[in-house]
Amino acid sequence: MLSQRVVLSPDALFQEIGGEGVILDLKSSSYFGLDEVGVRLWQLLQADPSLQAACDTLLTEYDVQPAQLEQDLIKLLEQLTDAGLATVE
Amino acid sequence: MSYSQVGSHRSMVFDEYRNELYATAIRKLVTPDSVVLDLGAGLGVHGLLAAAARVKRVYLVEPEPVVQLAKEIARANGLADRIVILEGRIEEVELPEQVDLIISVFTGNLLYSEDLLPSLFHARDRYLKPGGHLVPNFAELLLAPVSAPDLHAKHIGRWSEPHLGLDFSASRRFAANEIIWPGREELKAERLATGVVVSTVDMTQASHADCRGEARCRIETSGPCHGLLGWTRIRLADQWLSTDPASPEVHWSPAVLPFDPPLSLEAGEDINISLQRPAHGDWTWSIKAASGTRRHSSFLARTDGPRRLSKVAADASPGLGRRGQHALHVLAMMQAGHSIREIAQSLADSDRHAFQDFESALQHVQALAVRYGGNG
Repeated sequence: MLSQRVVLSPDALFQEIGGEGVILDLKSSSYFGLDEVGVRLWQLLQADPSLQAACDTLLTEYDVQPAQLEQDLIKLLEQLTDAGLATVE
Repeated sequence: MSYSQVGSHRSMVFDEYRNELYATAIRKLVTPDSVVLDLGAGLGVHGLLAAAARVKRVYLVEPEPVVQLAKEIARANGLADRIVILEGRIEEVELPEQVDLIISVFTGNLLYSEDLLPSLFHARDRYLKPGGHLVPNFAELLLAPVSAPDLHAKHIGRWSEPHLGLDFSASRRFAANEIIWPGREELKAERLATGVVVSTVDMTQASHADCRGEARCRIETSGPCHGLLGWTRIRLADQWLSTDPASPEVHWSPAVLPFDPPLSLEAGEDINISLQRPAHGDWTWSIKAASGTRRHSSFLARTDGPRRLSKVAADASPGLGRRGQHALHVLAMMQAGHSIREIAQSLADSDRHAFQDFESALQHVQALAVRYGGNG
């Protein structure tokens, strides 16, 4: 899973303030909320689609076990892909 | 904008150019047997013009109580026998008959911005006779790329300049996504191309008020593009009324959808522009040119985004905050038939921290009573 690339939807507008984030999907006109880790993941994926690279960076920034982080990221990515905000390649 | 005060109707009632065009259209479409609906009537200026054109009856439908003043105005003008006032939203009131003409001014400064068009569609489907007329019956939203350095500097660039020894530049990305509504005197903008239609609404047939438009236009004058100038044209019978700042003055402000940073456009190049907004949603606008692309959205101007979303997202379960609990307390007591005084006392007793005295609780209850109280 971590070896995959995540392409963010060009129809997604991302807004972050005070550590919380919201995505507006222009296609469906729906909103999607992100918590602090979600915000950081989105920012990292905007710069580099490598999920492994994002995971490595997050491990340096948060006090979390790799297995737990991987599990959380997979769950979040499922939500993002279900909402059409990202595709995994 | 609140339309409950007479002052808020001044610019509309005295918008002579607009109202003359409405009057001409009304006179063209009515007969002495016509029944007319003035939808969102305000002080009833257009309905009164219809009544003065000697129609059979005019219904003024308006949610704000200011419409009651129209009774007095109608009386003063000898038109009271033809005017029926229905205070409420068109979805709430009941007209006893079908109408021949529906007059409305629901197009807002940027066509969709007031989110009133669905009420017009509702009125049309429910009350307009077959073969009846709408004024207006068609609307267009146009955009033109403009060079407006002073406006851009004032509304956006200024945030990057130190002020009182403080750096406010974090605000710039929000300011750059806010639609600017300059007065005509403030708007000094050079058009880099002729305006193009990006969205239309055929009021006789439309059933939704989502804006999703794209257009291509050819740049006629080279220069830095600071944004898109937006305006609306509406068709009143066989005449067009435009809010283009180059047209005769009307009460609507021009709108500028900014780009930051500005991008350079060259005469002869073709650019693509787009504009979208779901009903009640955020505006998003973009440009694709040889020198680059920009995409902005009023969504990105909101500082309340995450907090608001946590309450309104379809899968959110926000529960009730403190203010919600107060409102629930008040509404439950109102429904049970308690007096305002009793409710205010109970509310003050229930939360001494939020309501330090009876008066502040009373004001809170009164505000809810005005909004949600019964007795008409």
